[in-house]
Amino acid sequence: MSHPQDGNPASTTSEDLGVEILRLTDELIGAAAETARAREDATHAWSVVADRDRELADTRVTAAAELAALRADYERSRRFRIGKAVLAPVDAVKRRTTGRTMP
Amino acid sequence: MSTNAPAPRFSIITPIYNTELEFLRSMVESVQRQATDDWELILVDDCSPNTAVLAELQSFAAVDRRVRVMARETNGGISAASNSGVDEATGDFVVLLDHDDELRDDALLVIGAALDAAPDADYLYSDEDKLSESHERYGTFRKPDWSPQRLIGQMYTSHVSVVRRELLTAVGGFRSTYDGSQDHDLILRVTERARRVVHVREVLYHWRAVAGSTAIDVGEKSYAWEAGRVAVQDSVERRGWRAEAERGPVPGTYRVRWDTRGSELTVVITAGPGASDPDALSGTVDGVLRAAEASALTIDLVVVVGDDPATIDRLRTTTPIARILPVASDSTREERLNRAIVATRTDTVVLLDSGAMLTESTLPQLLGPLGVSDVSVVGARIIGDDGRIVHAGYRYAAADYRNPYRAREADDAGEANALAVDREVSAVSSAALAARTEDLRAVGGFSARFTGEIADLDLGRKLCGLGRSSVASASAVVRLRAERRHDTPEESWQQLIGRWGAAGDDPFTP
Repeated sequence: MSHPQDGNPASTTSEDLGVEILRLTDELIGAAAETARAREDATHAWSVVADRDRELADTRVTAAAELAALRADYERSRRFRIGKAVLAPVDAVKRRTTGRTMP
Repeated sequence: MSTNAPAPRFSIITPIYNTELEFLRSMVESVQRQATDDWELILVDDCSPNTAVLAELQSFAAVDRRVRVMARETNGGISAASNSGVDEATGDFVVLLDHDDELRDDALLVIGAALDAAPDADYLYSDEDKLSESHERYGTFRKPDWSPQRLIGQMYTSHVSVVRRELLTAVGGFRSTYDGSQDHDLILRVTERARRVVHVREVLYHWRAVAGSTAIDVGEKSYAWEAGRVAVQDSVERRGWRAEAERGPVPGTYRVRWDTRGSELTVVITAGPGASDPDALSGTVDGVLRAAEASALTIDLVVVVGDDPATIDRLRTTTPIARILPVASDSTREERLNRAIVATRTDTVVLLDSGAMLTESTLPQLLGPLGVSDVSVVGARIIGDDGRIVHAGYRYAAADYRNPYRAREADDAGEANALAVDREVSAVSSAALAARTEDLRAVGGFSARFTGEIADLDLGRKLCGLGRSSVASASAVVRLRAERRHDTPEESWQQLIGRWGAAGDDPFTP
């Protein structure tokens, strides 16, 4: 049996609507909170990526410099060996003909 | 001081009266060790009977141009001496340093960085600890972030206090009438007008604990307690609150006794799913009606119950004055609360679990703080039948949420007397609270995603996101006959973190 002070069907419908509005409001706030956190996570992730990029770039520069130095060392040592290989037979000829090696 | 030298950022003011020379030297040396030079130290001798004190002060100034000494011609007390120092100050900010205390070596550097990050900060305070006579540190006080309600009840910001000189002067400086609680009086006036208050979560100040010092026991200076009460009363009147300040249960604490006569509110009593004790419900209804009459409140009483016809008919017979709000018997407690929020017709709503028993002062003490501008929710101090605390505010802490005071004695004052005063918290229990109806609606009430304590915590976070605060009342007591079931599965906590992120340290209950 209904009572004058209790909800009537019309007010029950509006109460249902009110409860639904609360639910949607809560979902909106929750979604906004999760989005904000996702943005923070993304910003942090991009910052990590940027740091790694800088590290890689530094590593590339260092590696390139080391490679260049290695190449230069190799070239010098190669010319030295070639020089010695060329001069060794000449020395041998000089010794046979003059008894003296090249200075 | 040369008029050509630029003014320092910090003016450290120290009133002196018959200080132990050893402690005096330690204090000055702690300033001289500061990692930044951007300070001046103004030592104000308030006519110390021991002439060696003034001589000692002058010896500091003789070798360090950053140190200045003022010798008052008459003894005026701590406020007068402090004001003498402030009158001589040239810095942007005044740092209050007591005569026998010490600053951490990088305190001014840390404070400077905090002020750089918050250019509109007018007041800053830090954490502190105590220094024994044998120079050992103990008693660290990790303070809450800015908590205006708590400041009313307790001078919790204490040391170190840093005030923008312009504002300090504008509010009239220290007042001698409040000596003993002159700092509390000053900081109440400052924070009423401060644009922003900053809390540095580091121990920057070491408070020397000697006999006769309030560092040991505020009761050692009982006149200070009364001076503080008068200062709080002044603040209440300046703010236009209908209330009176009285001493709290512990020396150095205060309570505001609110006058809410004539207020209109809705009181919602919720019988949760599975709660079928009609006597408990009737008891709560009777208690609410008595409390409302005693406090001259006009209430709209709403009872939310499952749609069992026998229960509803019985309620209509026993409580004809109440609006009965029947809900589906399988609806959750949070769904019932939301339906009540929708049905509320007043600006203020009180939510009570069935079985809650009020005292005469519960309703006014719950309602009063809601009149303060940014307070959305006030939670009661809930005591169980065993005489122990059931709830006194949540702590939203890393890897856990806590009801940190559960099972303590009903009159436990808590660490640093936190339970003796009204204080800001992360969330309150919905078993007994008062709220602004508009704010509950603005945040969507209780989330359908959560139940139990997780739902309470989620509500607190939503209100915080709105820029609103939740307050745990020390004096609005509710006795709960039946303890509400606590729903704390791990997955619920993970869902909460999924929404709000992992918790760090709780800003109000560190």
